[in-house]
Amino acid sequence: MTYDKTMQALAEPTRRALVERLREGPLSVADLARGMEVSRPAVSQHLRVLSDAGLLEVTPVGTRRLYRLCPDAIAALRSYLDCLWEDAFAAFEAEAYRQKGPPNGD
Amino acid sequence: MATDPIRKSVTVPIPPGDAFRIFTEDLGRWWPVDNHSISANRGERPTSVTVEPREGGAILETCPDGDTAPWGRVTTWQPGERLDIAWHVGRDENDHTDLTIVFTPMEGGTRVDLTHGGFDRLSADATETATSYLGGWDHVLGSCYAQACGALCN
Repeated sequence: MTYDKTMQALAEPTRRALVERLREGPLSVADLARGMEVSRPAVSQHLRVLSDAGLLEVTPVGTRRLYRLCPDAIAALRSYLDCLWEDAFAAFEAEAYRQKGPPNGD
Repeated sequence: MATDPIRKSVTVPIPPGDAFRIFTEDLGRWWPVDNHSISANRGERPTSVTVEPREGGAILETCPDGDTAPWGRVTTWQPGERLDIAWHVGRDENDHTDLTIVFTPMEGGTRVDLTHGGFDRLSADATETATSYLGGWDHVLGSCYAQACGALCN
């Protein structure tokens, strides 16, 4: 399962910022590092984590490497929603029992 | 598959009509807003979460500053039987996923079956949807991640 890896990759603010920037379209490391508060090597490191987690695809274009978001990121959304409904159903069940009142011995 | 629907079921010891009412009218009483709401993302609690009881009705979170944030829109309203919702928390309404909740009478209560699908339909825009969704509610990553780990370890 790669869900946990995806979640872990996205749990870091700089990496989320990089993902946000890639929503506009593919970018090179130099493009991504511009305007970021972290160094270019640090950006490369974060890109590697995101790639390893299946969130990014890398395409060589001439001498550059372009990073783009990978559709597999949907796995992270699904994983989150699975967790949400687990929590919500547990709470719904508790409320149903609460409203039913104390057990009547059956 | 990442795009397979999510399915959850629970059996509750009350008739379908009551289960439906609690799920909708009382949503704000039981929804885990501390972890799963737009207000929670700002470290606050919603003032209310309401379901407008009709087809076309909105599910709305009211934040402490008075702003309202839509979670979804009711597309089928059959009290005691079925509820369909176009779910679009933190997203444009056009980028919704599909929620179906079916209430089935059982001996001694009701089985509630939830299906959350429509992820395949998002494929063209899947990454954007996923990342903006997670960006909007990212505070839950920690707890969800921990739970996911716990589940894997058990």
